[in-house]
Amino acid sequence: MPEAPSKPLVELDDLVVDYGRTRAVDHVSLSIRPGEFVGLAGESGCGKSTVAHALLRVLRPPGEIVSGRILFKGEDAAALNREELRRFRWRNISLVFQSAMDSLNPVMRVGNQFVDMLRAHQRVDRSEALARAGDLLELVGIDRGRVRAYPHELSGGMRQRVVIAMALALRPELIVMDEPTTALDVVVQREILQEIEELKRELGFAVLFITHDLSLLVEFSDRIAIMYAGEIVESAPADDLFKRPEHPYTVGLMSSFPPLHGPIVRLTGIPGSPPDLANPPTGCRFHPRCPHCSPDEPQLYARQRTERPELLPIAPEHLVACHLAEERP
Amino acid sequence: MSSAAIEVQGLAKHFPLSGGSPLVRRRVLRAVDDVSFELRPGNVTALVGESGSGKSTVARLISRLYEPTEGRILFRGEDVSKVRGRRNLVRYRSQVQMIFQDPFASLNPVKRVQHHLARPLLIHGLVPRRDVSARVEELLGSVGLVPPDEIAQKYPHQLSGGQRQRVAIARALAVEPAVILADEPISMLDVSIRLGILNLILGLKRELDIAFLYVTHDIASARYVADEVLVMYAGQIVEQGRTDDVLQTPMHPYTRLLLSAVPDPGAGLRQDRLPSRSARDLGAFGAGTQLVEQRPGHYVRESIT
Repeated sequence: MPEAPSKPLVELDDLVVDYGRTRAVDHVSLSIRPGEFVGLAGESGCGKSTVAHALLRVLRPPGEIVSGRILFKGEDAAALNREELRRFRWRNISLVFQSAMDSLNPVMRVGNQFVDMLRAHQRVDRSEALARAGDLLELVGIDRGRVRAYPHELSGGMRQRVVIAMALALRPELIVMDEPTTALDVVVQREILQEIEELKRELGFAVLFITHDLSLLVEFSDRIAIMYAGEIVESAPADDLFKRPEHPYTVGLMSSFPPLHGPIVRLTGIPGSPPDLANPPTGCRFHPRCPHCSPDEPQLYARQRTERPELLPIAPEHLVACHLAEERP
Repeated sequence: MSSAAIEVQGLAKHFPLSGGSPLVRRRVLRAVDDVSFELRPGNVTALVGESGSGKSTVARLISRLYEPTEGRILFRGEDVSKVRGRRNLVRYRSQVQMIFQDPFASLNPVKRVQHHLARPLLIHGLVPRRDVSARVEELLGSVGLVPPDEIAQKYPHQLSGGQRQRVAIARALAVEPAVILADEPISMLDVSIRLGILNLILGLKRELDIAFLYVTHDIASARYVADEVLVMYAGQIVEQGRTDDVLQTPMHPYTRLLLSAVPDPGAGLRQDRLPSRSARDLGAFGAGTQLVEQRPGHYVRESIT
């Protein structure tokens, strides 16, 4: 393995998460360096949100971490007790959910929600906290007078910004964003991403950005990991992944977005549908949908159907789990 | 023009806003304002806009789920905007079908696929009862659901999102409609299966000569399927024309803003940023504006000066 350029901030090491008898996350390893924007892409039910929830230890029963480690600056986050965990969340890592704009308390002024959060973590008095709330709103481009607003008085995009401002409040080193812009219009989505990028430059936090929209990630990420059926099937620097996608699933995803420029060519997407994790395919989990899986090549075909491919490097920082990639020189 | 399946003329829908005194005129929300276009057989017309632009309201007006405030809807030259009575509406809807965004909500969870497709056939008396099963299987085959006999016996929860949307399309096809109004048919589906549905629409328009209205917020998918594009903003069409013309040479500032906001990895890691809200030029819309033909068939909204 090539030496990583800087020490990881967070390391998921061989993480396994089950919901009862269903394995949602199957031996996932992923590291995030300080200040890095890492994208995690996949379709519904691939386990990408479960990764985020496990990372923050907010899994709901029956979800549980079966094995593997979550290291934050080298320390095992799984060993934290209740009080340490409470501080760990928000202060070290914060989370913005997809439905975050609906996670604000509808009957409480926005400012007071900041005050509650700040005072739960820091020794500040009310007026000081309220002033901080105003600063944070300004940081995400909202007039500070809006501390007096109720959530329903704000648009969806503004509510999402408020939640992002809250996530930034304690200056965490990592912000996990689970589909934070999916429910928003494209113009608002781009505005928010530009803002996140700017704030990241200014404040230096790292981002784990989880989405089904690979086209969005390519533009904003440093590195991208692709998940399929509970596993990471490919991970690479964003540029590399875009120019040289190796896993047939990544290739399929890339060509699932009709382009805005160039000739209009007939695209096919990926045949079939994402698998049910309660009953995943044997061997390579993508094989039932893979265009390179055919009985014409009996040897390869047998491996694809019975043997799980390992996630192996094919270039610096570029890992792929595919029998085809293994066979290539 | 007589070749149009649907012709919409000056369509408007105003929703009354709550509050206000009964003595003064109620304030209204102009959800749709002065919208005119045609849907032609064998064509896909995309209606593109963001949430709240009124695009879904247009589809619902055409399907007569809403009563228009103003304007006319001509179906094969006949004004259907005032059609009333169950029998007349049933007859109209056998020609103009709608596909909804959420294939989880639009199918009855306790009924098999067979039921969903047999119902329109029986309601509209399209095939003799003994031929219903055969026709159901034929319909399922035509939307790529195989094997049809097995699929017909399944319940919606046993199907994936993409398969469910195909059932919804098959159901729309059951009555052999001239027009299909598809309201965000792919936005709730997984990325990898969206193209399958778009390709199905492309195939159906060619084979069955259906006029499609494709309502979407995704301008890239509109480019992929549509022959013509209508861009809607704040209840009005701000730009309209052949897909190529509108997307290659967008003229209205709002169309340009929309295009610049779409993630497009093909454009490389671009650094161009959206203009800030205050500096943003949304161009002409609202009262005192009208669509002006800039080039043959390419209309852009401008202020009347």
